[in-house]
Amino acid sequence: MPTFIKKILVITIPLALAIGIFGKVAAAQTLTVEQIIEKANHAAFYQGKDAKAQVRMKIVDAQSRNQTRLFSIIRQNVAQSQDQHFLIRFSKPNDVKGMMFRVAKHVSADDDRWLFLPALDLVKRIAASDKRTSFIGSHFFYEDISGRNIALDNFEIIDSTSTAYIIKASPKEPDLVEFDHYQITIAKDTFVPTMIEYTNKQHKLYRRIEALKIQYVDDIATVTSSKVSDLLTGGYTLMQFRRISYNNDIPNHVFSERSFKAPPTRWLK
Amino acid sequence: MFKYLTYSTVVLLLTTLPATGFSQSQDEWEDEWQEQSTAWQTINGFARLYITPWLSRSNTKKPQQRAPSAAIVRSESHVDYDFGQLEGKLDVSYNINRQSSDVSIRQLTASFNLNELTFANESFEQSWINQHALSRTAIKIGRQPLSWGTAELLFINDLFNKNWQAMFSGQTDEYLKDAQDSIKLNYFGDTFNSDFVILKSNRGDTLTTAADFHLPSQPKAIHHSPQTEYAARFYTTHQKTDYAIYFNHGQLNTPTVVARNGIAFYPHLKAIGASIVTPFSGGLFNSELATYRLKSNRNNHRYENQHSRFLLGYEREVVPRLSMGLQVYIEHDNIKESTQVELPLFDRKLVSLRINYLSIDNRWQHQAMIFHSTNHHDSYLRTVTSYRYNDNLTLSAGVNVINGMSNTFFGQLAENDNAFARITYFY
Repeated sequence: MPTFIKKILVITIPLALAIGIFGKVAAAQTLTVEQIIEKANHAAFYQGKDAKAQVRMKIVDAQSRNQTRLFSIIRQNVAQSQDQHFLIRFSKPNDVKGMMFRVAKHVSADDDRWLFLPALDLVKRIAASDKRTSFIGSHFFYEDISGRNIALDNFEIIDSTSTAYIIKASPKEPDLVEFDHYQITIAKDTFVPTMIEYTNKQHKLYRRIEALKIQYVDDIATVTSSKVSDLLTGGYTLMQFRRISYNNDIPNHVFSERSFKAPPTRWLK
Repeated sequence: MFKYLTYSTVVLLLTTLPATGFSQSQDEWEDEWQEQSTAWQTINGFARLYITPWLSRSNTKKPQQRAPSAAIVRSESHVDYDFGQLEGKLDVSYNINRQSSDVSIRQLTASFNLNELTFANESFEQSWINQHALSRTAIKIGRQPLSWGTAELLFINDLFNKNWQAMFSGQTDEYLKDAQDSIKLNYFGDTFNSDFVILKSNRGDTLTTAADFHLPSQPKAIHHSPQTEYAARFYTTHQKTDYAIYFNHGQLNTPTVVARNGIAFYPHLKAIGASIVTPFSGGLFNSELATYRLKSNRNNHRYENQHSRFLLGYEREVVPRLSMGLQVYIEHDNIKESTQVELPLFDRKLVSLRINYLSIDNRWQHQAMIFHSTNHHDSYLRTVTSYRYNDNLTLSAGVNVINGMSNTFFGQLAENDNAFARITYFY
């Protein structure tokens, strides 16, 4: 290699690295807390046009008794909107095997929800309910799975490490929720939330959600294992994903009553 | 939602959940993921024991006074294929009251989802079937449960077979409907979907009989000639509101026409109806109506009634995990002909109130529902409390309390107040 090229490299590589590093920091500093939260919300709940996965949960209560849930879930983002469609089919435990749950998630209105009970061949419309109650008996809340509307909270950056943003979120309407505030740790490289800790109105840390494993699936950083802990009772729920794929071109009709009558097995595998 | 996922029953193997050996610090599971086939192609089911002691006021010493109780073992299998499913459910039961055993096929169906019938080397979009009307069609053939409609335990357009014995003796919700031998065809259109059902030799509802219940009077005989029946539903969802219209052609599932000679008949039926369900003020509002043309013409009687049913309902969560549902239900009868027929009470008006409570961990579920007729002055209270010990074991208990004159819908069962307890082990 000619010497001048070496000299150029000696000069330019550190320069490039420096520009890169400083460039990133500069870019990060320009992000507002709202932009960070928006990116984190997207990273956690809106990746791809659609997605499918199998999910299992291990629910361990304060007496160390275990329960298991196993279900397939498919999701589709509504174009030009923050709304989404979900379809869930349960395969375990056996008393709920074959039950299906369909949700049309609306950011600006109550979600529409339908439950299919195969034992009766009955489709039942489900009334809106508190989103901060247990999702299928686990320590996860319905809102943890479908995503809490970011317009419901005020956010402020309280720390920024080399790898993560630490953001405090306070509810705009405290009377509607059980927490006083929560703190989110968001990875700077992927914007994936890696930990959320909730403090109750007695100023005690009582609930934690943490990402245990993050893997790249279709080049998308994806939490494939997570845990929610009830820090007051010692109970917790583990959640794992497998067979994840994004951008499957799942047809719109899959997110309709049609799937209750003719389960779209291709997408539920 | 888990209020519908929790349910039936209680305590067999308290030792099935070894909590040891699982480290909280690890994210790994003790077992590897099982393959899909093991989740969907194995046999599973439940074993259930239930007992229903009477709380009756009757002083008669009849065999029915023994507490109805039974043991049921359910075996079921469900196999998923790309183009459909095979499903089978078999119940082996022993009725302790009657000291008799029974084997019944609860479900045996083959379903075909023609949309999924693609060729291996062809993408979904390119497949010939996707371009064909058949891609919008699904068919299910065999013995299967059938339900539709929006009301809760009031049946307006859902004219499929019910099991009234199960309803009033503390069995699980699943048994409130009898499975029927039928062909169901679904067509999924761009603007609305359609269901068409053909029911072969419909045998009608499972009625409360003197074998198990105290009944004030029984018809001398019940004349039933099973016939092929047809039902259809057209439905859609538009801007958060579910709409449906319904058609039925066949015969009513209960022998409501009693001739003067004491023989009861199932009247011929032509029905049309409609329903809507829509979100309203944080809850769900529903309305459903139907009108039936009921006819029964025999040598010994003639009967024709234009019978209508109308319902308004509203349900919502009042506080987290506590929900309430209110229904107002009205029947109207327009008797066009009645010759040599015993006329029952008409124009029934009813209100119902349901309260549901789900514990914070979803293990406990409490439900109470009361029906009261404002003009026939009969009532029915049903309660059930369920505790989900673990994934396998559920315990339930509740009561059925019935009041009213013996010629009213509920009142005819007023001697049959009961409590029930169920224990179910799911395997």
